Amino acid sequence: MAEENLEQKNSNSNPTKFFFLLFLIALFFVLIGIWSWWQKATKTIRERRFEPVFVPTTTVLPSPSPILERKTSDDRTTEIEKDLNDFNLPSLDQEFKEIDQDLNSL
Amino acid sequence: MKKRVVIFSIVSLILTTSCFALPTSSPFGVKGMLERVRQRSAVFQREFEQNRGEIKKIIEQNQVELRNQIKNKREELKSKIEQLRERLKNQLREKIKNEVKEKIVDRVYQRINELNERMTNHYLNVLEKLEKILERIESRTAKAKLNNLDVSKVEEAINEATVAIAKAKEAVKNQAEKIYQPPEITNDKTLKTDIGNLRKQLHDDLKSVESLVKQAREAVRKALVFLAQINKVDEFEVPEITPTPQPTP
Repeated sequence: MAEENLEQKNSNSNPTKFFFLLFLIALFFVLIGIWSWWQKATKTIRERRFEPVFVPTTTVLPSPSPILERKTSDDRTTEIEKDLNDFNLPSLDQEFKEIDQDLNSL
Repeated sequence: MKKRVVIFSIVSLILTTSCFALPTSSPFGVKGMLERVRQRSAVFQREFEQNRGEIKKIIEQNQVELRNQIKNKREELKSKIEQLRERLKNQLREKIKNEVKEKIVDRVYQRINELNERMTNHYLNVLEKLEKILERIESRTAKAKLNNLDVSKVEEAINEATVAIAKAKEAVKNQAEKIYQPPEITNDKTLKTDIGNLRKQLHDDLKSVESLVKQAREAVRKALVFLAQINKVDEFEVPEITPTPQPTP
């Protein structure tokens, strides 16, 4: 009687064991799949993180009109007059002073 | 039919684009801003500034070219001046026989050549600055002209100043490339007069170059005075849409 019970138990546990093993294998493959997907996803993020940040020049550069205004300011008559008045021609006689001293010592 | 329309559109586009481009520098020299806007009724501010930049660049290139010409010529002359100096030393040794006087005369001759180089460099600097100032005057005059103001007097003065600067530059170039021949040394008594004559020759030459530089400066000043006499001239900029300038009677 006891033997019969044991045999029945064994025959019942075999398919359970089989399905459990199958489940484990399937779980293993699912985990591997998740892991590989995770790796791929994080790789893309890592690469993106090191990409140079592209700043469009149009948003950074100021509009051209103020630059042009600054450039044109040098042709105002007040500025020109100021620069023209800065010209100094040295006195020629002063420049000849050393030569004259030498000549006088002859 | 479609093909004809396409060809017509392309040709019109090319012609329109070429109309908006200001004439560039002529191969014979710097074409000033006034000359560039003369044949135009409308000029865009960006175009105006681009042309100014181009004119400035040409002016600077010409200045560098002239400086290099003078520098190369001076390098050539250096050995010749050294030869003349040696000849002078030999004559002094033979005919004067006074070491102190020999040294003084040699020093004077050296100083004459150095002074010529220094002064011509200085005059060239002044003329280069005057050229840049005249370009600024011309730019302001062109803006006034584009705003229909009468700038005929300023234009005339600008032309005179351009000629005066060119004349002075030519004189400076000739002066910079000049060699001063030392006098023939005969005896101790005439030594001072002989060297004195050389000094006088340099003085007179530099004085005449200086006079031309001063004339150029005054010509530029005259153009500026005429420009400043135009009422509120500094307030005018290149107009967005410029009406056709009316010919002055």
